[in-house]
Amino acid sequence: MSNFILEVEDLKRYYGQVKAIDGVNFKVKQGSVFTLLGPNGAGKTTTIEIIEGLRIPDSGKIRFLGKEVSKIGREEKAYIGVSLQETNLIPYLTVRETLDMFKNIFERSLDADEVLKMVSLEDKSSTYIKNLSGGQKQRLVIGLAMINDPLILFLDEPTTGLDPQARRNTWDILLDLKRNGKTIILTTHYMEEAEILSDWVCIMDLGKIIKEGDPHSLIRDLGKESLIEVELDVNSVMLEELNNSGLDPVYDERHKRLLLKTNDILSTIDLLLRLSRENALQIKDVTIRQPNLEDVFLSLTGKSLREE
Amino acid sequence: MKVIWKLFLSTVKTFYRDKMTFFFTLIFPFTLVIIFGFVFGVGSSGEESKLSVGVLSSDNRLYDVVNSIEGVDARDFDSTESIRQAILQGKIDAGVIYNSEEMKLMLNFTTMQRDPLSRMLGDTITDSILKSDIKIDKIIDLKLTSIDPGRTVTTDLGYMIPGVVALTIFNGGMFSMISLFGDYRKRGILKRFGVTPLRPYQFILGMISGRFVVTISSATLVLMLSQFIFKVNFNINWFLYLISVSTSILGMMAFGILLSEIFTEPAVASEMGSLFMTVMMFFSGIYFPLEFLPGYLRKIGSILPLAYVAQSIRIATGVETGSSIFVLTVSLIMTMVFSVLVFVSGSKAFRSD
Amino acid sequence: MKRVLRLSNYLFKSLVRDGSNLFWLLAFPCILLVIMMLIFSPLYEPKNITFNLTLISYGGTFSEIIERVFNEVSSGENKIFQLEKFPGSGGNLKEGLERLKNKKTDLVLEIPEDFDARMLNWFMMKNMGITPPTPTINVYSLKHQAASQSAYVIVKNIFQKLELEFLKGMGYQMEIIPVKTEIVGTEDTFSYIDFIYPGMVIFTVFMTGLFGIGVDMTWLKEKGIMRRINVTGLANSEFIISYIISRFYLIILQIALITIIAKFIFKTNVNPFAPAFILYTLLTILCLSSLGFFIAAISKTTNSANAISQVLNFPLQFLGGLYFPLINVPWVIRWIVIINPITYLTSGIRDSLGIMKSPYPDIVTLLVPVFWTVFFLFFTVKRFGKEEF
Repeated sequence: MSNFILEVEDLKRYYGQVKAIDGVNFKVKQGSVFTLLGPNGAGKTTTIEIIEGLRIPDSGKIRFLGKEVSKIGREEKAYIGVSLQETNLIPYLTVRETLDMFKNIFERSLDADEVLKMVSLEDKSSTYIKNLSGGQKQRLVIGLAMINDPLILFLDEPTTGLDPQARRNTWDILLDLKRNGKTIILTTHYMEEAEILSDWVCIMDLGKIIKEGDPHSLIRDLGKESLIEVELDVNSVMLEELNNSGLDPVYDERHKRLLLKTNDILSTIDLLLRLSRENALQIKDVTIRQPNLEDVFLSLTGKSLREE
Repeated sequence: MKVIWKLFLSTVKTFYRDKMTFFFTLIFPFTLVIIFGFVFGVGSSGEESKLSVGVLSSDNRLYDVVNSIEGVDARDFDSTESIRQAILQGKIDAGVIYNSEEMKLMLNFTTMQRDPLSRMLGDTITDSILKSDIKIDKIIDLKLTSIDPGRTVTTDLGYMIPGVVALTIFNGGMFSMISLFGDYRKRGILKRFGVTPLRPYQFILGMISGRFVVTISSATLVLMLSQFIFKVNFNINWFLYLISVSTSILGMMAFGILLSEIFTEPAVASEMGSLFMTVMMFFSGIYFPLEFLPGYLRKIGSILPLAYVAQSIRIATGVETGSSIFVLTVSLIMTMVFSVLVFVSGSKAFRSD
Repeated sequence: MKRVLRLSNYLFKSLVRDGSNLFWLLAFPCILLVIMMLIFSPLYEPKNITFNLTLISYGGTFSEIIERVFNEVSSGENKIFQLEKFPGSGGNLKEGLERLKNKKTDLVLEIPEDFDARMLNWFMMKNMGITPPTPTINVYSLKHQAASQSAYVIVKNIFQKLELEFLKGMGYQMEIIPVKTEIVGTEDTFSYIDFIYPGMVIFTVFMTGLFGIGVDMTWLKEKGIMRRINVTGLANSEFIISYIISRFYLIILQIALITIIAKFIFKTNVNPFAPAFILYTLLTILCLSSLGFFIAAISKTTNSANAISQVLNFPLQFLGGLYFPLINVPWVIRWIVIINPITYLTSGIRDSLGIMKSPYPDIVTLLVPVFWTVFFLFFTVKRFGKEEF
């Protein structure tokens, strides 16, 4: 058996004229965190719902645990744990009862107490679902996905809609799971989440995977080590000079932000200061940062990942 | 003033989206009018309908006796069994079999339900048989004059419709306030207005006036539609009608506000509202007569506000006689109750606890 | 099977913990039963009812006999009338009618001034063998008032008996003919609780179908809870079976409550353990639950399921004969009665208890609900049988 726990080949699913996913290929290594990254409507959810068994592909191959299957059926579902994009639970059951209810569905399962501890909800075990906060509910949803001690965990946008604190807590839980060698398949449109958690990232857009690799090499492939973001009213003279210096200036006129790529931060800053003085332009803000997946996506599609 | 107008418009609009209020204010009362109208009253001009009584065709004399009884129509049948079947299927109201020693009266269940005293039909027929034996029709002629209680001649259904209008008012007033005060408080909408420079009275005026106009239109729509469909004769005194309907809406709104004050959970307030509606519907004498009820139950009816609202509207639509003093007194009480409650609740509407 | 049963326990728990369900599905049917009993049972066994009667009389031998008869039925423990007598003078009739209009009295009886003379005349002419003109007594009743109409029926009856007494006095032989009354299709021991009890059983199952299944299931669908269950590998059919079992527990509880109230508070004569009744109740549960699933299958949102249920609720209830039989209704609503499964369930369930014979042939009473059940289930299976949600 190869060490790929899940492989898909040329997966397609159309809704009438709309090609929700159009030939998706990827392989998921056992014990890794695999992330599908992309904007809303890129086809992430359709892809993940096919490998969760909620949808049936129009065509394509799926190899699950080394065995080729036409779809993820009941037998395969026993080995996966799922957290759907927006999970509602039955409001008048307690946390404990909800876990027990799902536990009862599976033949193989973890102890409810163990799961409660895993997602740190021990003190909420007899609280009704309707009285849980958003973050607590999300932790329970992840706990439910763990209840059958799955080989693969599917998490569809596990932190969407959570506040930063609750998001951090969720990441901690997921990092714990990763340390324990769980295979996790994640979709997200938060690049930070993808960077922190993933071993392998597939960037999706318009129903296709446009680039994949581990997050560091993806970023490294951008070729430049540092990015400098400057806030100022640039003029054409200055832009041209920057361009001549090989800094690939990108100017976002709406936000009055200039983006420069460089391997030599100090001399680039020098150049910037000189040019702004010569052109009598005032620099309002300067940020120096490392490139991230957002920049990778931007350079691949010319679009921003974020919804704004 | 502009603020109040804006709020007014928005509450008018939300009325049709607020399904519970919309349903209980318009759809529900109207469904009841249609159902009760068609089941119990269509076509009857206020005259008593005749009872149809099945008789064996072999018994000519009984046929004649039965037919001679006022308000009774005889029909002949081949056998006792066919009479029984016809009664069971509701084709006739009753049947009689007479064998010169004993009289058997068979009665249809619905007939008895509508008129419990139809059980006395057997006595009436045997008495007539005795008299016809000696060829005497009757000694004393009872001459019945049915008096219309109001200024206008109307059917039983026409008499009932103002009660349905009262129910519309009750539901519209009560449920709209439960949703405004209960739901809005729960969802923090009241608090949201509380942080604006809006004064409580402007808010309440805007909210209430919108629902007020909607409820008054619904009530009048129910009245007009039923008048149109069932060709009911009303003689509406518009002054009394508008006074009693509008003050009653206020009174019923007060009831809704009271419920949402007592039951702070909107779902519970709304369930209590439905419960009160059921009790009022049955015990206010709108659909079902209360005369046969034991005294203590009739007393319940006499303390329910709906009974008074219904009577006011009956007086205003001319189907019942009554003084305008009665209507005005009911109106005054409704307005007073409303003012007190709105004053008390309104002043704390924005306060969050 | 074990996991299906255990899942149904959780579904049942969540159902009865919701206060709203407790109210509408458990408390409300019981309250309605009590209200129905209070309002309608006196109509079936009229007793201790007193009507207000205004009697206007000018005096005279015959008038006094009539007055005496009315005095008699207006006194004592079980008096029928609360009698008020006025001498017959100019304004009294007018005043009496005014009292009638204001509902101060239920019926006005006026014995005209010439009544005695006419009565004497009648007896004399009769003795001479001539057909005499009948003397008249004026009765005034008020329209739309059940009490007024009932009082008139009773007064009419009293006059019939009085006539027979007069005729006996004239020497005619009168043997009162005994009357046996039968309400067709009902048992001799019939009382209103026997009639309404099975109606309430159907009502409560109906409510569970509409709201406990139709609206609730749509909610589970809309909120993605069914999807969540589906990814566990539990088959939809298994989930739905658990769901049905959880509703079945509820229905058993509902019927038990209604039965306890009917049996121990209102003393119904029926036997709730009669096999035919139990079988028919099962058919009711099957039919109205599948109606609920049908609603869930055709509604996309909880709001629309609620709207559909509300729209169906009252017409099907009232036009299904739960509270009053509907046989002689105009065509406008007759078709609703005819296609309404509740019509046949009600008739069948009452027939099965031996309370009232169904007006429809047995086969129709049985097959129409079965047809609807099959129809509802067909659509439900078509919708929920799909693999994707």
